[in-house]
Amino acid sequence: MSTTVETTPGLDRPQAEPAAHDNRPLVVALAGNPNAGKTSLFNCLTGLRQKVANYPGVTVERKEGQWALADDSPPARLIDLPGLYSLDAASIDEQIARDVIMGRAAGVPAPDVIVTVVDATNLERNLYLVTQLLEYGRPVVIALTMMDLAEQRRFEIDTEKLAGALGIPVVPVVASQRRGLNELATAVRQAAAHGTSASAGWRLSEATERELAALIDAAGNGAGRSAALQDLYGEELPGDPGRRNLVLAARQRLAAADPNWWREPMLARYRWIESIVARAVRAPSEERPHTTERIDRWATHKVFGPIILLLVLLLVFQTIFSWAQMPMNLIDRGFGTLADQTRALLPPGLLADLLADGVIAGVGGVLVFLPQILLLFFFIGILEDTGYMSRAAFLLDRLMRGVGLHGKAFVPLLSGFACAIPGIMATRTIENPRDRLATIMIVPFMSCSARLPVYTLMIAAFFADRKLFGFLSVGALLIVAMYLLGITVAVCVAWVLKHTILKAPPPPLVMEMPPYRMPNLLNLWQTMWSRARLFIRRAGTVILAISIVLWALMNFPRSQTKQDAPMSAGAAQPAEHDTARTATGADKGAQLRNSLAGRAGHAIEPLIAPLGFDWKMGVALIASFAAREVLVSTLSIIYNVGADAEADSPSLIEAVRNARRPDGSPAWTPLVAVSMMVFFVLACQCMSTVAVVRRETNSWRWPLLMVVYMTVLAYTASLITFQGGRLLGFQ
Amino acid sequence: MSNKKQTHNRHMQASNATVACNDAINNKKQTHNSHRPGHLPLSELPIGMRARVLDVSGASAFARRLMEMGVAPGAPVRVIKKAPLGDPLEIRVRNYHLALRRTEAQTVIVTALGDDHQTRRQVPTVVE
Repeated sequence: MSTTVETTPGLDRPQAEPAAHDNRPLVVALAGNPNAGKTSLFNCLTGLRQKVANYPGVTVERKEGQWALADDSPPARLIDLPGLYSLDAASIDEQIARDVIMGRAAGVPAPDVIVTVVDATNLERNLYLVTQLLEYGRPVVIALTMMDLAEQRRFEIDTEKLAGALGIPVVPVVASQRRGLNELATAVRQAAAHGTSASAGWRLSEATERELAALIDAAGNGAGRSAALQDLYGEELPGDPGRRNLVLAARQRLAAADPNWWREPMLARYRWIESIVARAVRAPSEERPHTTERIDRWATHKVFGPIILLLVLLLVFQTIFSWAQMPMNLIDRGFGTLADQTRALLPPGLLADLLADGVIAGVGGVLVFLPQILLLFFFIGILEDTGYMSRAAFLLDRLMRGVGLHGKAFVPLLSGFACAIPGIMATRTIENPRDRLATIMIVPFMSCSARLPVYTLMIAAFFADRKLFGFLSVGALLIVAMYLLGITVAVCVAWVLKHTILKAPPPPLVMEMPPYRMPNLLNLWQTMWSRARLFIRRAGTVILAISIVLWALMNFPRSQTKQDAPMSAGAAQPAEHDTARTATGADKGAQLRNSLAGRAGHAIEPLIAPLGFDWKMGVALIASFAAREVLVSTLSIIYNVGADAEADSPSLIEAVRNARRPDGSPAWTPLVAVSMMVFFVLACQCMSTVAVVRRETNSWRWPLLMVVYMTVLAYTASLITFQGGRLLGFQ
Repeated sequence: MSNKKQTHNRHMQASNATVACNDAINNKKQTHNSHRPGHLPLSELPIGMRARVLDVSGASAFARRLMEMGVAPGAPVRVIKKAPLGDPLEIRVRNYHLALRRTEAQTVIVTALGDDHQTRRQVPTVVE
């Protein structure tokens, strides 16, 4: 079992010449198990930041950065592969990673060197991936992390022996203290100059090796051992019919000799690993329970575990809502002042209206949520980084399985309380496509932060200061009820989906429970910052555009031009006649009624009247299908309170309370407000969510189904609320 | 059950003589206190008892994933605890912790090696 003899130089890689000497930058791929410290190392090497987390598989997106290897050469391109346990392509992550390593991923050149991060406290399992990487013949360098932890647990690791036995360089690194980084750069440059790496030292039984050799020969295209292994043991058969027959025949011969033939490489790899670890590592004779086990005695305890989980969640949401209040008020006031200033500076007319009512009110109404979103990502980041998230999944798995979901679905669903988009993206950790789809379909039922302003407005207008039994705030109860309604419907929908179109046995759960770690505050800060940038960009583009379009729809065609204006009558042409006109409240009302949006609102009024909504609410509803939070800014444009667009602005609340129907009765009643809230809990009113679902499922079928069934549910629930409420005598 | 036994017996590579005492499966207490080896599914292994994986039954993608994660014949394994609702299990294998459902743990056949008093404490007594 020599590790050096079988070096097969550059059989399947014609571009093996050292790239360090020409102008092309080196391409380095960073691979490793989840929770091995890969993301920290990537951040440390590149200075380019991304999410670091303890929950397995959070780094699913491909990240790339520049790594300054040495002063005299151009920086290397460092490609961060998703965290993975093996390269057998069971999940999307593994497929992506294998494609990158084999140079098949679009837009990514085949890597010159693979740096693989290995957790010293978890050597055997981490080395499994290394045995697979070695088979590809590309140079591999090990970055050994968590050495300090391993020493704490009294493991003695002889890195030189390890390197000797594996036949590849092993460099201990501590990313947080920037230790070992220069050594790693040197090892990578040397490995690139050398061009190849020792192949893995594990061998299969003679019969199997013969089959492999025959397959390698038959391929004849220089595709080496890795390709033959993939063909023989991979889940997918090769596409070429001739090759497929060869592989099938070989499989049959192997299966005849041993029904468990398919597991031979896995066992051989682990046997090899065990022999190496036995040589290079001295484990403590008696292992003591370490900190993680001591914490888990409480955190996953039969009784205390669920209590702690509940307290943690309560604390998180309580903190988000109380801490966010002050910055939200500040942002609110800031935009209010800005709108006032704009009106003061500009001559009254269309331009001032557009800026104050359209742009500033629209964008401001959305940016108000920034503090809440940041805080939520902060707490989710802490839960992930510390490793608590997988404990939560452990505690909740039995419940989740009850509706046919995976314990891992807990993280996407929790993220959904901030925003459905990161939640839907987080479902990538779920391997089974059906379970993943079922989770995606219910994430939007979690009351995201964009629904809060709607709840806030409704409660501030109709339920403020109301108490039940003298001490329970009706408003708080209603908000809790809305969250619970979303969760309950999500559970039911999941159950139905898993028993109909997504029928599948409950998915298996194999989830690593990583050791507890201190969260890295710098990484947390960077996560929040990147989220904030994304959110602000969205407010500055999508929401800005929607605000302007909505404003235009509500202001055109101008009233003076009468109703005969064609649909989508240009935004520009009537402008010159009207710029000097000052709109009074009555004018505005007439304007809105005749505008495109007003006509659309009128058109759907018969449909929404049974829910208790009038045509003005219809306008706001149509607008909010772009994004929920738009409801508040639309209502403020409709009721002409423009400058103060925020949900708890006194003028908007007054306007809502005082709004009248043509017959003089109030447009809004507490019952209408509840009906509206119920509609918002269940309706899929978010273009970005639809776009993300389209991207994640790679088809229009699922996003369309989502919009349709959620809207039907919302309509039905709202109808039941309003009509049922009326029957019961509520107003 | 006996089918599984046969497959794994065939598969075990020249390893230990533990294969003999199949009857210990039905007598957990005996295995528990004595150090007599016995074969049982991982889901039946008493909490805290050290064991070694003998076999992972089935040819599913799941069995493959388990083995890749290190739950392969020969690996030392121990059940740390059960989740509050009795499912899933937290196990320790090759020095790391893994959550696994009962139904999946049933497919893993282990041979018990003996008790480890140190880690058997379940109820928190004092904060250390």
